[in-house]
Amino acid sequence: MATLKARLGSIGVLGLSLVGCHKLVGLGGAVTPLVNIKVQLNNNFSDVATPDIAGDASQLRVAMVWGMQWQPEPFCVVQAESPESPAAAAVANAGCPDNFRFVPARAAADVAIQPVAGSPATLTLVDLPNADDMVGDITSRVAYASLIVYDDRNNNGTFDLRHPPHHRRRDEPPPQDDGGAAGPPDIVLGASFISMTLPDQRVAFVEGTFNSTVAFYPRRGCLDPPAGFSLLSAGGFSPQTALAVAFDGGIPEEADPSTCATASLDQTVVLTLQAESPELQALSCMANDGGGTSFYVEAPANTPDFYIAEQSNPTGSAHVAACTGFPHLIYDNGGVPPGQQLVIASAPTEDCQYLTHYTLRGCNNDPACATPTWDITASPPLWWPCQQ
Amino acid sequence: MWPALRPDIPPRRCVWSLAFAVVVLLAHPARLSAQELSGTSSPAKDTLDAQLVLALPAALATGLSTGVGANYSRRATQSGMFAYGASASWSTATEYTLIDAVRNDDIRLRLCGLVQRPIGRGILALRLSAGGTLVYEDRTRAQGNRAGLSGSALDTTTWSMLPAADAEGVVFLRVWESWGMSVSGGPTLHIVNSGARWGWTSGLGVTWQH
Repeated sequence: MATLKARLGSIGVLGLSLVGCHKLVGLGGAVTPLVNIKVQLNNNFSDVATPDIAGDASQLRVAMVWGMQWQPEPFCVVQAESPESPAAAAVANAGCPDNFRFVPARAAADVAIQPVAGSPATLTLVDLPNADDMVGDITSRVAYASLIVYDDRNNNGTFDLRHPPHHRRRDEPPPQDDGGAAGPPDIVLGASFISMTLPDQRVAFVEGTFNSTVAFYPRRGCLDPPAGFSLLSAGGFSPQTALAVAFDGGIPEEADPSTCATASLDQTVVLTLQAESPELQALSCMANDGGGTSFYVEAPANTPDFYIAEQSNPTGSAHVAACTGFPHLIYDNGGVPPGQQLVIASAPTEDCQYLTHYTLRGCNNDPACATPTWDITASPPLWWPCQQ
Repeated sequence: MWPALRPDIPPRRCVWSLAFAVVVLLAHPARLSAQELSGTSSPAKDTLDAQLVLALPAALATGLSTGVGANYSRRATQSGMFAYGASASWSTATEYTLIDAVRNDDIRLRLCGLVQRPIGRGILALRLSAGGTLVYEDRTRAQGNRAGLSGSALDTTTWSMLPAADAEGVVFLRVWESWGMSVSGGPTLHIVNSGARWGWTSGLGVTWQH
């Protein structure tokens, strides 16, 4: 009996000891970060700030941005490899972003950083990349992210991504476009991964085994990234060599494999601030179509805003244009349609670089389609400057 | 298996099997008809029931906690109007947010008093209980396994004893000899992190009365 009382007493004490001693968290509570990424500036904001942004030092932030799978459109690749004409080269220069650039898909984490050299900040990642951000199937997929320093011009605490204007498909309603974030666009002042042709440092997340044949921001010649999160470095490859290899259907190799490195996220990423440039600003530009195709539209009845490169510009248009043939890429057995297209580049003042392709005949995705969506070759608009 | 449903048995054997079954049924009519029970004049001395429990989780903000429980009560007065007893139940609920998967196991331990009254073959009772609910909370970080988290970054557990009180309406219904069924339900009160939290509990089960 005494033993039973003693046991009951022990249970009672144990029960009482649990009352209020441990706080239940439930569905709320502090968020446990999945990973922390430490960053640090290599120089001062004042070293690179132009007069118009010199007062924005307190708005400097760092964002971690997952990249999207993207292939440049054929016109840009062909003109970069061997320009068809000086006019076409001028259009490509104005309207084609870097063929090997990092293209953003989703800003995942964001933190303010002091605008002086050596100032640290920690990016806290609370969710993994979406399936859309990853390339491959669930047994072998990878996502890459760039750490981007930017001037948060509209002060909303978020790296605002923008995209080129959407084109309307024939017989479909106008595409929905929210116009992007309000206020002036954020200004990119540096990034750990700008282009595959430059030295880069990127955050990688691998699930399953790494598939080295996937041409997703490839770094051939380097070791495969480990499973999970890691920090990868590479020296980049030459654009001309890379284009030549790509035209042969291959994946370019890193120019100097000794620059390849793999580290854990314990390592601090050092970011260098740079002066504003179109190459940096392109890091805030998504792509409407990452599939490496051009979007063709019917030449409108009214004259678009453009001027032909290396000719007079009586209207003072900011959109340079050229009459060119249709690009033909290796493995493209669809043939090259006759006639020319009018390619108009975006204006230098626009947020993102893009091209508009006008034709007299064709479909949105194929100027040589057997049953054209439009065919006005018999009565082209009066302003049409190209061959039929 | 019912013989007629077996295609491998010849038809003649099926006929014999069916005839045997009919004879057995006719020979034991009392066993197979519903037992006729008289009305209950007073509650049984001892009542034990085992229930399936559905309740609002003691500490989770939302969800449905499901589990099993048992109640025992003993008649306290000769008339049977009052009884006392104890109850215990275990139920669990798991809810998900974008950040965590939270599982709460609620172990409800109560001492109770009943006010009861026989009505026909049943007993209508009000059960007032007080005690504690031992909550085991298990929080698993969403996507933590994929991200390679381990230890407390991936999973944390906590025990907590919450003072609690319940008021339940209970119906006991005798079905066959000492066996019957019970249905109960009512509000609950827990003291969670120094604040009162109202909820509810319910049960459906099998009763044995002696």
